Amino acid sequence: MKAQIELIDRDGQARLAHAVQSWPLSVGRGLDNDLVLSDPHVAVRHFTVEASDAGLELVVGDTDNGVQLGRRRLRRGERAVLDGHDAPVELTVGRTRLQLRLADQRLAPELPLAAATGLRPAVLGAAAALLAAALLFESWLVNDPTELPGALASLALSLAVGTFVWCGAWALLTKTFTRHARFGWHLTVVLFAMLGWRAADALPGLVGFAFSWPAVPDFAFVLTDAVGAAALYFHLLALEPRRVPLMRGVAVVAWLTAVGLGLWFNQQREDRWGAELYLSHLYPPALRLAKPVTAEAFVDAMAPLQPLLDRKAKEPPRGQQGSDDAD
Amino acid sequence: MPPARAWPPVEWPAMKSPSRVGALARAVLLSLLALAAPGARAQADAGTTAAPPPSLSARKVYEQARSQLVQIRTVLKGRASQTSVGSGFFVTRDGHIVTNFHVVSEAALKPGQHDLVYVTADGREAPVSILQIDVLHDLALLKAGDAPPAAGFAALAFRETTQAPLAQGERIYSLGNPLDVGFAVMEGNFNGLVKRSFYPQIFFGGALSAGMSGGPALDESGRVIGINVARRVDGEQVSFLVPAAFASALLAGSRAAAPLPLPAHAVVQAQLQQHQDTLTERFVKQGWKRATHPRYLVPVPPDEFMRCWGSSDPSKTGGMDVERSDCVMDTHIFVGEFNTGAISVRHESYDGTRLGALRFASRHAMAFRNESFTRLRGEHQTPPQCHEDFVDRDGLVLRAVVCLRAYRKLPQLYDVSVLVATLDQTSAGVQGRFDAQGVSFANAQRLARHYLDAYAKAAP
Repeated sequence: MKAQIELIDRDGQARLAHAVQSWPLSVGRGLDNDLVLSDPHVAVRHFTVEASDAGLELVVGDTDNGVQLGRRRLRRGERAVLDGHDAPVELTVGRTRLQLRLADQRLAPELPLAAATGLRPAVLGAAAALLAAALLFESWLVNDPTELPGALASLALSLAVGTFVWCGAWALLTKTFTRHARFGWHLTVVLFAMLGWRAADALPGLVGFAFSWPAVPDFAFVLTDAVGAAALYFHLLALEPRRVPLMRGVAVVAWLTAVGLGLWFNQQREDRWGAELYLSHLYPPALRLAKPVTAEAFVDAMAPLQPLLDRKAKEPPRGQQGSDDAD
Repeated sequence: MPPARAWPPVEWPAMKSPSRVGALARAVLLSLLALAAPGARAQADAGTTAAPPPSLSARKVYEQARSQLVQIRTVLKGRASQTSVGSGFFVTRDGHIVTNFHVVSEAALKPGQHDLVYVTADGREAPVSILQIDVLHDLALLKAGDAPPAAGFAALAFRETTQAPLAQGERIYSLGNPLDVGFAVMEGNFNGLVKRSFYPQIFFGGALSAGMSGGPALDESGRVIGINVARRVDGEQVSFLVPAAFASALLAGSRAAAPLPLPAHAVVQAQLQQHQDTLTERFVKQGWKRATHPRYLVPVPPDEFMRCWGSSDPSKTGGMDVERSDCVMDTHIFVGEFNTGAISVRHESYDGTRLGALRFASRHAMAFRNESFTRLRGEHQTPPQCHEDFVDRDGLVLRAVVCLRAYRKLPQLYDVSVLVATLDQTSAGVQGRFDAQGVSFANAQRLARHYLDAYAKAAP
């Protein structure tokens, strides 16, 4: 056998394999081709592969749609030398994906039947324990002592149901596209996303308090949105494992969109870019590193607000805040 | 900290159209007496204001004053329907009429949409123009737009200042057109001046209803001693009158004035400027109460023109014990669509020793976050602009935030709020908030400084 040409399904598996015993190989809708395709977007004789002095050569037949060879689009009558030594040649004709495997191709070693993510169980266990500790600490922090057991019960319930529904939905989607549910993968993504989200949510407040930098917690949503976008990327990766750059692009666009919408929302609703009007994260006194100012300096520093307020007073009102009957 | 309660529940009894009921019910305790929502309001008031049958002298007083009494109607231009009604009375033969500012505020501030007319007890209706307003005492001087009758308009006289002052318990009679039902006389008692009012007001022990705003209150000989202005909606027959002296001063000052250029925002602004100067001066001068907290000096104003309410709230769930103090002024300046010109000071002290440092810090932060710095709608005020930092008060470190809002139609006036949290103890602390409405920027800074300077560690 000189080569094998395969018809690739949307999950990346070969649906049909045709052994090539001799060159040239012709592909098209016509029944006289070596490989007959029924895709209506394929021409009667779409292309042929011929052996020449330069090696194997693809010759595009009488087609309007042409042939997609890797990243190149070949038009009617064009020729291209095929290089299939390191990886199979990938072709798209009409809406059909083809893969040409040559006899002299170097094969990658066999892939082991690995765990869902390739992460060691110890790492996963540590991450899960860390998240559980973080959630427990959070509940302990915000609940009064006698209310803690009830709060923990409702936290556990909502966490279990929420995670199951979320991961279940992703698993269902993944199964639809790839024939594997990969529930474990999605669970891992959620685990790390929750850890990351907690860190991205808590750290800016602490930094803001310690150094008296209100802007840091004000724009903490940039970080939490980034965690969300990263989680989206890894969830999508389970669906489309071969299209890494595209999924990366989707995640970056999602992140930029979320940040942009957040900024726009704040601007429209509250007439400022950040999420918080003032720094409202208080920590034990020992964590304060910034030096306090005198009352006099504080009051003097109010002065720049006056021109700002006078300018805003002349601008048309934006949004609806407050009410006439507030006292 | 939880938001401050609206206090006191006062209603100014001018009567307004149904859509304005919400605005009227603004204050939980005090109600301006202009008239709005006919149905609902009439029912609500019916049960609480049963006045005794008029005595013989009430009849005499009413008969004498009937022809001097008018109803002031604010009419939607070109629609012939009234948006608000109140009362008023003639004070000169030339046709000068005294009423409340809040009765004519729509006509004064939105003249494009509103016309002002007066209607006598006989049903005679004529246009009326605004000569001057006094927003601080809630008064307006109007002038009838029609030609006076040959003998001049019948007018009420003010009680002479040379006369002996009224004694507490003396009968007085409040006249007006309650709920647009018809002219009426309400009998009640003079109870002296209202305690802790920023501007003097007479405490009238009688019933006032919406629509009677701006009507006169007369002594037994039919002389004007005050002008109906407001009532407390949480009490029975606790009503307020503007002392006649302010109306007579307004008349003396603007008797010959040309009609006020409208909209009158510039006049309102100028009078508020004067008010905020007086208010700031008096507030700063009165100093602070001492011994307000075992560990700190926490600013609590004296009871001169403010009233402080306190409460103690020990946690029932093993959490943080909270004590509150809430000081507010009874006096607000009504400037058309909202109130301004008041100061409030409050604080909460937290004891979280049962919780420990981390959990206390989390509660402290939550309370600090639970604050609103928007008061009026965007059409009246800018969004808040804030400055914040750690402030050192002789070794006591505070987190301080000051936020200001500018009034859109009242230039150079601002609301200022100062929020403070103590940061010296790991499991206890105090958070305080100071609010002043309608002050100049310089006074906002002065008041913020005055408030911050009042914090310190208590001497051991």
